[in-house]
Amino acid sequence: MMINVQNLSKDFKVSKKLGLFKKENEVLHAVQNVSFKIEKGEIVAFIGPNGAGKSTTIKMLTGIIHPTSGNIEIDGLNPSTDRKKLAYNIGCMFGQKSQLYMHLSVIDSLRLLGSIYDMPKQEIDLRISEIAELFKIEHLLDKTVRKLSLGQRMICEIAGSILHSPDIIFLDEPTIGLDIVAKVRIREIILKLNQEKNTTIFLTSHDVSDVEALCNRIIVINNGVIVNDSSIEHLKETYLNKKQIQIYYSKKVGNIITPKYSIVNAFENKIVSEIDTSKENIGDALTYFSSFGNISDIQIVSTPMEEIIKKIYEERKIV
Amino acid sequence: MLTVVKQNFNFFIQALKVSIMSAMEYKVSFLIQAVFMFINNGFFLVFWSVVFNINDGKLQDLEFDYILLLWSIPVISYGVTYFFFGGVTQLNTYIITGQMDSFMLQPKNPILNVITSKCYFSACGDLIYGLVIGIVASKYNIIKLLIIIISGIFGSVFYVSTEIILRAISVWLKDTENIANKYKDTLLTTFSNYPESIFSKGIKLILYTVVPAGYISFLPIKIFYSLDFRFSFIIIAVGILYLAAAILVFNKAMKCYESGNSISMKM
Repeated sequence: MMINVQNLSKDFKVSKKLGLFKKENEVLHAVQNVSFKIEKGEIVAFIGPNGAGKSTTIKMLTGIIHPTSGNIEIDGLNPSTDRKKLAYNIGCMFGQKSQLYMHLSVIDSLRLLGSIYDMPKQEIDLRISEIAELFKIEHLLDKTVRKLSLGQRMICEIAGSILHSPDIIFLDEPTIGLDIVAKVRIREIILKLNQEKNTTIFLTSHDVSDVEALCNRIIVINNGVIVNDSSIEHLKETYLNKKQIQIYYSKKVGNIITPKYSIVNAFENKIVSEIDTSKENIGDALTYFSSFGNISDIQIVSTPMEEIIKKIYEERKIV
Repeated sequence: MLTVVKQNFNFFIQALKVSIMSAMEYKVSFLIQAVFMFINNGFFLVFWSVVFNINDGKLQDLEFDYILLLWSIPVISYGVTYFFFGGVTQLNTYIITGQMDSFMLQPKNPILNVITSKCYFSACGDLIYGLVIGIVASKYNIIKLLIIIISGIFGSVFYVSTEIILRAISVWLKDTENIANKYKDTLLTTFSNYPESIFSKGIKLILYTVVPAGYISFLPIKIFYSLDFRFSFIIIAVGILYLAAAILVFNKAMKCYESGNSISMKM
C-alpha cells in the first residue's frame, strides 16, 4: 500500500469581520473524514471545484500542514512526524509554486535541489542528463529560469521533483495555464514516469482532459467530502461521455430543429449542441451542422467539473 | 549526528553559492548597496569623532577606541546575519503567503533552509566596515582582533534568534514585519552602538534580557579590555538559550502553519 488515508479531517479557524473592530471566529471544515487507499503504480486523479479541499488534502499528505484528526500513511511513514524521511520518498510539483530558482539557470537550480536531497555531485549530474534526455530539455539547461516559457518551466519543475527518484509524485494542477501543446507534452512525461518506473502518481487538476488522458482512477471531493471514488471507465461511461459543440456560422441561420442531436442553445449565428460520444461521432455531427450554413468557428468543450459533481449528486439522490 | 552536521554544512555552502550567484545577476546593484552601507556606517563614526574633538578627545571616561569597538563588533554581527542568513527576514512573508510549502517539502531543516534562502549584499558593506574598524581598534593585536571577529560572528546568534521568534509568530499574529524591523533596527542595533555606561540599571536589565544588546556589544568589549574570558561562557550560554527558544517557537509555529495558495517563485 503506497497511500493509506483514514478519517482525515482538517479544520481552519477563520474570522468574520462584523465591523471596524469586531470579528467573530468560525471553524471551517476544509476536509472531513476523508478515507482512501492507493496502491503502488496507480495514477489517481483527485478532482473537485475550487475550495473543495484538494490542496489541503495534498498538503496534509506531504507533511506541509498537520491534520486536525485522522491517520495518514505514505510509503509506511506518517507525514506529520516523519516529514524529513518522507521527503526523500516523494516528489511534489505545485503548479502555482515554483521550486526552481528564478535567477539561476535550470541546471544550477537542479544541482541545488540535488544537494538538498543529499545526492553526491556525480550522481546529480548523471541524473540531470538522464532526465534532460527523457524530457528532451537539454537545450533548456543553461537558460535562466525566469526566461523560460510557462510550459518549459512546468516541465523543468517536474524534472526537479523527480531528480531524487521518488516512489510517489504529487502533482497539484500540473497543466494550469498551459496551451494544448505544452499540456500534451506534460501528460506524455507523466505517463512515461508511471510506465517506466512504476511511479505512483497523485494529481489534482481542473482539466477533465488531463484526467481522461492520464488516470485509471478518480476521487472526486467537494466541500471537503469524497463524493465519488471510481475507475476512469466508470466515470467515462457515466459522466464524461458528453461533449458540447459550439458552432458559429458566418451568417444568421434559421431555427434548427433536429431530432438527431440535442440543441442546448441557439442564438442568431450560434448553436450549442450536446453530443453523447459513446453513441455519436463528433465528425458526423460537424458534417451534419455544416449543412445549415458556412461555419466560421467551432469549439468542443468537455463537461465542466461542476457539471460532473452535479450529476454525481443527482445520481446519488436517485439511488 | 556527524553526517547530519556535514550534510547541513554542505547544504549551507551550496545555498550560499546560490544566493551569491543570484545576486551576481545584478552586480552593479550589489556593489552600490555594499559601498553605500559602508559610507552610511562611516558617517556615524565621523559624528562621534566630532563629539570627542569638542571634548578634548575624551567623553566621560571613554576613549575613542571604545566607540570604534561599538561600531565594529555589533556591525560584524549585523553583517554576518544579513549576509549569510538574510532569509530570516523573509520568514513572516513565507508564512503569510504560503511560501513555506517548498521548504517544508524538502528533507532539510526548515529553519536552516529559510535563513539561507536570501543574501543581503548591503550587509557585505557592514561586514567589511566592521572588520576594517576592528583592525584599527585592535591596534593590530592578533588576540584582540580575534576577540572582535569571534564575538562579532557569535553575535549573529542573537540577531538570528530574535528575528526567528518575532517573524515566526506571524502564524498567530498574521503580520509581524513592522514589529520585527523596529525591534532589530530601533532596539537591538541602536542600543548595541551606544556605551553601556550611559544606561540606567533598569535599561541595562532590559539590554541583558529582552533586547540582548549586552551580549552583542557590552560583554565582548569587556572581554576585549580585560581579557577575562569568563564573560564568553555567559555569552555562549545565553546565546544557546536564545537559539533554543527560537527553535521552539519556530517548531510550534510550523505546527499551526496553514499554508496558502498564492502564486510564488523562489528568488
